[in-house]
Formats: sequence, C-alpha cells, structure tokens
Amino acid sequence: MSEQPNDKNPLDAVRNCDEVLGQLYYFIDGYLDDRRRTQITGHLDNCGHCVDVFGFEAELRAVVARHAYEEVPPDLKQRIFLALSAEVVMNLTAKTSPFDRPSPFSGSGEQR
Amino acid sequence: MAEQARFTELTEEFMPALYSGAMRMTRNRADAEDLVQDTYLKAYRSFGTFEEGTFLKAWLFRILTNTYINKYNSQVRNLTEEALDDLEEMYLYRHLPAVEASRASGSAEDQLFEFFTDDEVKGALEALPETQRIVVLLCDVEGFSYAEMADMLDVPIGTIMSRLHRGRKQLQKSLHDFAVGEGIIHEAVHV
Repeated sequence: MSEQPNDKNPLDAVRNCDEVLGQLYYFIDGYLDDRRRTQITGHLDNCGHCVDVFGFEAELRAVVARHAYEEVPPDLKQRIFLALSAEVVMNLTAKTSPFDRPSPFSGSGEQR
Repeated sequence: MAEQARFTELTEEFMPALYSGAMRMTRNRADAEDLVQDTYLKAYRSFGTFEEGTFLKAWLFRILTNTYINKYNSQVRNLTEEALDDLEEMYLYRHLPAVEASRASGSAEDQLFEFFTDDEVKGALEALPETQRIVVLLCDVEGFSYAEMADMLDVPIGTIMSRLHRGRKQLQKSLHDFAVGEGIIHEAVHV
C-alpha cells in the first residue's frame, strides 16, 4: 500500500457514523481521552449529519441547564446567615472550634 | 467571627446552584430550603476538613446529596438493577420532523428550543425517577464528571453512566411528548 501523505492515518479516522454517535455523550461529557477525541473530531470535520446531532445534543443540554435554575428566596439567605451566626455564638460558649470537627462524610470520625 | 465571614464569602456564590439542586431533589420549596440550610450548617461545622485547592462546589454538593440521601432515605445507593426501558438514544433528535429544508437552516430546532420554558424543563426533570434525576441534575445541569458523581454518591461509575443514559432518554421523551401535545412538533421518526 502506498502512503498518502495528505490523508490522516486510517487508524485515527473513525469512518462509521454509528460508532461516532455511540460516543456522543462521552464526548460531550468530557470522558474521552485526547486520542479518542481527535478521532471523533476528525470524523466531525467531514460529516454534516454527525455535526448536526452533536450540535443538537449540546444545545439541548445548555437549554436544560439554563431553565433548571431557581432564584434563591431572600428570606432563605437571611435564615442561613442567622443560623450560621447562632452557630458561632454556640461555639464561643462551648469554646470549641468548628474547624476541629470530623468530616461530615465519615460515619464516626477520627478520635482525637 | 472571622471564620464565619470567610466561610460565607467563599460559599455564597454556590447558593443558587445548591438551592436549585435541592428543589429538583425534594421537589418542594419548604424541604429544599431546609436541605440547603442543613447543608450550609454541616459545611460550616466541617469547614476545617475542606482542603484548599480542592473544588469547593463539588465539596458542597457532596454534602447536599449526602444530606438528602440520609434525610429522605433515598434509594440512590441501592444498586439493584433497574428495569430496562425501550427508548431510543437521542430520542428528541430522532423524533423531530424530517423536513430537510428546515433542519438544514436549524430553524425547527431553534423554534423547539425557544419553546421550552422553566416550567417544562423543571417538570421534565422532576418527573424522572430519583436515581436518574440526581445524576442528570449533577451532570447535565451542574457539569460534574462521572468520577466526581461516583465519589459524591458512593456508587460505581458504571452505575452513574447507565442512570445518566436512561435519565437523558426519559427527559428527552418528556420534552418531546410535551412539544407534541402543544403542536410544536408532529410525530415523525427518522434516523
């Protein structure tokens, strides 16, 4: 086989649309390594159909994210600040720093 | 007091994200508010265990999801195989009208996207089964990685990925059905 210098290495070009679309979410989610990403973008450079699908999915995700947000109720903010202040007062009384307590994720926490 | 000021300064910007997440998890305002307040108190109490340089938003969401899981006896950590659905991948795209002219100009898609408002999107998210809802929220709305979610929820990455997959299909079907009901798109299947 003769080398075609202007062609990409066949191993780096994904020819099959189904294979590319099967990687779509991993691509958008940032789960692919550099080599795999390059293979996918190599296909997208030459395939309007796959570009269309990728674009649709990416835009849909942006639309969902944009519409999923809530305004924080002003009284909630107030409530939280008051609760944190009460916590500070309690700590001053108890003379323990909140910064010495165990992680909120561990069941028992380290014994000191 | 200085500690509280510093904590507030660092964490305040994440309150909208945490509250939005709490609303999608609990699906009502009163519980969401309590959940966010509990999250802030827990975060403040253990702020000393937060390592500078790590991702503060992920740390706060980890506290939020764990508080939710414990308080509401959530099934998120239950790894029992969930029933398979027979929905297609990329459900919404595949069910758009196959009118090449409007597809090519993107106008059909733009019209569809503009049609979705807060109510439809929030409704579609909240209609998802809990296990799927939480990963779709964490990934598609908040942008956390598979590894971050696996760590946060304490379930394997493979489970995260399959829930995400099913959740996205179901979410797209809800949005599709809504658009069909409103006459924005007409039933049609293409590949």
